[in-house]
Amino acid sequence: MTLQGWTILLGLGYLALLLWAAARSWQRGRTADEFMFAGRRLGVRLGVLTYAAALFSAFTFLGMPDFFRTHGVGSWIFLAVSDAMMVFFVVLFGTAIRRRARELGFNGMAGMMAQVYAQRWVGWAMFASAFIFLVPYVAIQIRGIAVFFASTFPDLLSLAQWSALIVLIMLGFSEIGGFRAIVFADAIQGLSLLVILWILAGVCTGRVGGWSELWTQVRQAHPELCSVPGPKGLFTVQFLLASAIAIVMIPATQPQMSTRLVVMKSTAALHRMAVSVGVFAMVVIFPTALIGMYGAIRYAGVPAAEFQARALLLDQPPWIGGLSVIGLLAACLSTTNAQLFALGTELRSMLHGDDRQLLRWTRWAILGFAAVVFIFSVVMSDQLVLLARTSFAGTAMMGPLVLAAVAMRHPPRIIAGFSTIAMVLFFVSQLLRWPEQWFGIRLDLGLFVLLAILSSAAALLRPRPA
Amino acid sequence: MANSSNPSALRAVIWAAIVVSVLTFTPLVIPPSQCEPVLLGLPRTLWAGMLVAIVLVGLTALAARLIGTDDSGNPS
Repeated sequence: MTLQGWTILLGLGYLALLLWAAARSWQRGRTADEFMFAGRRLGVRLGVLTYAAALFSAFTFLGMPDFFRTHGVGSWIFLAVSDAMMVFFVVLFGTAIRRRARELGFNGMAGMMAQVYAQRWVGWAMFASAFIFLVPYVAIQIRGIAVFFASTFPDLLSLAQWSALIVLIMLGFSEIGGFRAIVFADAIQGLSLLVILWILAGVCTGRVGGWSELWTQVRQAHPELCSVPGPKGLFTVQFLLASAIAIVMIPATQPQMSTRLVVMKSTAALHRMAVSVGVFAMVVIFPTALIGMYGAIRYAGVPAAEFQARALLLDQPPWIGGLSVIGLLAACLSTTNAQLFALGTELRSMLHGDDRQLLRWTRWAILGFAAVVFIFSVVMSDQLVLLARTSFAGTAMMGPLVLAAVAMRHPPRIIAGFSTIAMVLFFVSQLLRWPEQWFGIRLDLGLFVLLAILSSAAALLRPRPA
Repeated sequence: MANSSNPSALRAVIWAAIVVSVLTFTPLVIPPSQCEPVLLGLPRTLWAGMLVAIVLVGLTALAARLIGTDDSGNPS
């Protein structure tokens, strides 16, 4: 059977699984809480897979092999080590936010922040940061998978039509099944991502003569890939440090991740989930290094899209190529679904009213967000990993705001002001393409350090009750 | 920290994680332009980075055991 045949067969199987998940999750007359938070009873296994699937997206599948190929082994520090730091933070932050959520109730991070700071603008700022930085991230992933489908089925549909089809599948699925269905889809995606990446890595390693040969060839032909800062000088200490801060802050500042911490069935389950995600991250990122190094040996210097199409599709037996396309579709759908759905949850947490009416508004809002994402996916560029990193850095500016709200009963409002100003500044810097470095310091790193100093000072100097 | 059965041990684990994280960004883990020594074929930065990630996940498991769960009812 050809690559197209396998892709259609496996794609139908995947769609059948999605339909099963949506049907299993659909309930007549369910409450908004059931729709948005799946009853807040997530166990360890589903918790690990849904957290990992929301975290590892098309950017892991497509972007990381290319990152290893282009920038070398520093990519491991950039993502795997930063993820290990993040899971440590999850244990501390997750415990604290669950305690705070028990005291205040939880409908979403924006609503919680508005409540803690007793200022509605703080909640809207939180929502705005998620919207501004998540929409391009969702869109670039949809574009990535649309490009991949267009190369698998040339002349069948245009890029915009593929994007529209993916958005429609995603939308229909989350509107029918809600959060519970997304969690089931995440579980399918988490497992398939792991298995498929290892199969691809095995084939790539075998094609260059095995493990030893792969690394020997890389060391001989591209020694600059074997250390930092890499051939293009990307992995400076500043870049790696700023990336680590941005990634560590993800559980606090990206609502789809924070929500997953709160809806775990217990704090003990959350802790086990964090440790397992740490292991999962290493096991899922390592095969991308092998695929990337294979690319460095075989496809050095070719454009990213060509390397991805060859290494993940054309160099593979047709059934693995088909698995690859569907694995990528699954990775893209679960992450983007989680992010779109989280935007709906965040908006809902800022609204008041009747439960059924709120649910209706949330669904319409998700539809609106999907339309914006579709438009972005048609007009934007292909820099998958770097755009994802911008998204992490942008939302991370809200870190001090969230951390203060979780750690203090009455956090100083000025911390919310600092975070919001930093987030807007960073957004403007991306929009107007300001220089990346100011006086030799990266803008994102400088803003993180400044925020940390100002927020710590505000927390230490705050008036305390007598 | 208040709910931990052993706050000083938890504090030590947190400090260990901070120290390991800081060391990651020094030449101890990421020496510029240096591939050697190679371990099982892997260049220095990669195997040292893997070691750091494993240590951090181990510290996460330790912190999870020490932090205490205090689950008097789920968040609603």
